[in-house]
Amino acid sequence: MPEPLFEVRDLVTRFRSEGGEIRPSRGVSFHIAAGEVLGLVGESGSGKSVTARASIRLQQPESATIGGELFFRGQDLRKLDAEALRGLRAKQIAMVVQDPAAALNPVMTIGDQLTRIHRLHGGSEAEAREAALLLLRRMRIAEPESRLAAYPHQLSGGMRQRVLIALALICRPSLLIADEPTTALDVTVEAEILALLDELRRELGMAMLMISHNLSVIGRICDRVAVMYAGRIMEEAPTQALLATPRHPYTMALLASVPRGTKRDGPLPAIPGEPPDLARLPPGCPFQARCPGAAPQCTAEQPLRDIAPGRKAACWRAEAA
Amino acid sequence: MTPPLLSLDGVSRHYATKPSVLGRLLPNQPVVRAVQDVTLAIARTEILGLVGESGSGKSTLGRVALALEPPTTGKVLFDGTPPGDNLPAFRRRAQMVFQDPQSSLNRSLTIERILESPLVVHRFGNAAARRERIAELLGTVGLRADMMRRYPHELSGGQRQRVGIARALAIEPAFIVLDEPTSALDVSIQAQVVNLLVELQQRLSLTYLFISHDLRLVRWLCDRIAVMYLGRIVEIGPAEALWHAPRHPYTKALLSAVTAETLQPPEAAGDVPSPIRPPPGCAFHPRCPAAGPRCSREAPRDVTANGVTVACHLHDGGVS
Repeated sequence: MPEPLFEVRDLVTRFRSEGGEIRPSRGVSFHIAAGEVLGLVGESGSGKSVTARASIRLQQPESATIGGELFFRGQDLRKLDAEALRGLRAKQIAMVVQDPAAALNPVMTIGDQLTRIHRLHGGSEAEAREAALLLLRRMRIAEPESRLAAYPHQLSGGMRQRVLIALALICRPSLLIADEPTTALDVTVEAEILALLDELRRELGMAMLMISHNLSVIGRICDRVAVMYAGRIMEEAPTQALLATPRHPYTMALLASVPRGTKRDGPLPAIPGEPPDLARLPPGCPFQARCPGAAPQCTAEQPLRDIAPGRKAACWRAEAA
Repeated sequence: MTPPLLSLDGVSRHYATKPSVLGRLLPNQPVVRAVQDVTLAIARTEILGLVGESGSGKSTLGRVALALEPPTTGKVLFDGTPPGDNLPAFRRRAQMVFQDPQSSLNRSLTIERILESPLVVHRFGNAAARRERIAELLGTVGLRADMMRRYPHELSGGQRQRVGIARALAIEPAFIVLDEPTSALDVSIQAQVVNLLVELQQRLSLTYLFISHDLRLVRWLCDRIAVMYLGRIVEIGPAEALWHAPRHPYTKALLSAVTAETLQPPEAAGDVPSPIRPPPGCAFHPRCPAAGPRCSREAPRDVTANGVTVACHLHDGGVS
């Protein structure tokens, strides 16, 4: 197996909350090869966003990360000083967040924000402008010249999100971390942006970590998927295998609860109960209280283990399935 | 045929934009045409789904249907009479469930006070009878009676939305507008709430106007679907007919964006134009893959065939 581009081993994060100490990531491991798209899917509170930010040391405060190893091109990210880390994040690793209104500078024009990085790297004004225009055209933004002079609030939500992606891609990163990049967008614009991201990954050989709660988005763009629940990866598999034959009871229940027919087919198979309180997790599997197949064995730790070539699950039943 | 419970006849809702100092001196202030010439009827115990992207006017239409806003032109009839003829009586029979239970429930009140308020407004019994009714309502939406002593922030998102539904049901309405009631919820919790909505609709013979951007969910839940684009209904018909055989190019684009299993170039490129200056002719023509010269010249008429009404030149003599 070739050395992965990005590898996270046993990541643990910890926060204090009103209810007590919580651990949004409880020993999360994954790897991404060059040009590969890994999906990280989970519901709110599953720890997917904290895990993603902590994996590139963006989680604040940094002391929240209390364990784990992070390797990018074989380099240990935890050993880098702040300046080296910033350099790496500026040139090789980029991140796109869900809310473009919060991520763009409201008092700088789109053009200034898009050309800033080029200028910081010593490029000329004209070169920087040319590169920015090229990217806006790729993002299918109409009238790119006039958009350069616009401020973020003058653009629609879909356009702002495309500007944010352009900003992330301007240095041609080898890894893009995208946290719900299309969740705030309308479905027709979403389809457009996903197609664009896929095109850019083929062209630049860019790897992606795509974080989403939307299984349809994950299904369309990811090569592999990791399913998170209460700070743990419950299942990991190639996308088509995961969607067609989920092996962890949580993945099965999640897929089943998406509406597929009409109400005449009977009630939606909902997952009973609520996600667990992270400050009061039961011993063993965090899904046991809602799992239709729960048994005494579930109170023992369920490590993520190989169940088939390329497939992992954190459930003692998974092999029998 | 029994008359519809709610009917909208040529309803438009326009908003004045905030004028600049100079603008106030000029005639013809720009207006936002949030809803434009909508005619539809909702039958008793029907669930009508209203889908569209942000800015399509679907929430405004819901508010006009509930007489929370007056139509700029056109007529709303509930059970054959204008809501304004007896607004208190109308409010007893028509209620709303909002998208975000976090912000639509008063955070400084207990669940008991939140649910009591509509009962007090509509003069329901004495304190003891109200308390009994609140316990019953909580049971109806699948919550324990002791939840009434809690505050909204002590509840999960799913539980809060159940309280929002209980509040709408408090005075036994016949008609409920649900505006994206599950979009703030996780998939697993969404399914629980949707099942509850179906069960309540059947048990209490309710009529719903269900506003959503989620086509899969609308297909699952609704009898008929209306698709809105820039203030107009471009297609309306039985849910399965729209899902399996969409006729308007915009409905097709929405469906292909939702049902695609692989990445494909979208069928409607670009952003939704502003409702202040909607494109001339058919408002969808700048994004439409099938548009012809007629589409920018002439607004399409509604054409009905096999129970589906569609406003598109493709189905009315062609686009050239």
